[in-house]
Amino acid sequence: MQPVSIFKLTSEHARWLSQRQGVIAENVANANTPGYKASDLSPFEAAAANAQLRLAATQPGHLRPSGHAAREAETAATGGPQSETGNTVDLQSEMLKLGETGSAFALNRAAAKAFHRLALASMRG
Amino acid sequence: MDALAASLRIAATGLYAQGERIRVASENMANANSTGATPGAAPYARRTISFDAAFDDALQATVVRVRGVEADPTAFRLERDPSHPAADAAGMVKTPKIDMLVEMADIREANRSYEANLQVVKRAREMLSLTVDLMRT
Repeated sequence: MQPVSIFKLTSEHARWLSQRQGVIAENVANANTPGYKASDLSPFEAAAANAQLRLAATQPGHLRPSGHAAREAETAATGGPQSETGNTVDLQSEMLKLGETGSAFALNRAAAKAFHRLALASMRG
Repeated sequence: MDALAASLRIAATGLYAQGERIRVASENMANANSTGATPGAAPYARRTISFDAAFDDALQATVVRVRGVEADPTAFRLERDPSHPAADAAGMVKTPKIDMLVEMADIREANRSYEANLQVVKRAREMLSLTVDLMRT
């Protein structure tokens, strides 16, 4: 039987969302810093796809899939057009991303709660 | 450090920096007519604030900090007012070169950025409380 990996998935998604929140906080704090370049995390879908692909390592020479931590922390320069001070932070799009992250986090926590309730119910029998 | 707690701290540095910026702009506005006391004395020098993105080792994130507040002693206007105590031999008084429109625009922009940082704080707190709510059933 396949082990239930929902909790692993939700906790990884939650970690990704809080890291994204941190990156947005950096962008917003530096919204008026000359020369600052806005950044964003690579999408969670990429990290999740990487997790599903499990390579069996039966020989010492086999390649191992690289861990999530390195992939998640990847940030790429994004943001709007450069202003005359060399700053690329677009406050509107940062606020939009903030809203997205918040509602995705609420959905994530609700899912974790629902599955936890499910697990408890199955234990009670 | 937890990424959500770190984002609270990052937003706090942004709030502090924008608050300092509003303080500098209000200093400039308040001293728009501050002249020297003796003949030919230099008036109030307009101040400008500059920000700098700095990597914080404890937070493992890029925060904002105030690089410095510089005064520009060369920025002044000459006005003719022979009865003024700071008037020189030709009856000219040095007054600060402060444009109210520029200062107001600066305060507006600082206000907007301050609100954005507050939104980040609000959202991070909501997310933290959602996680705490998992313990309630």
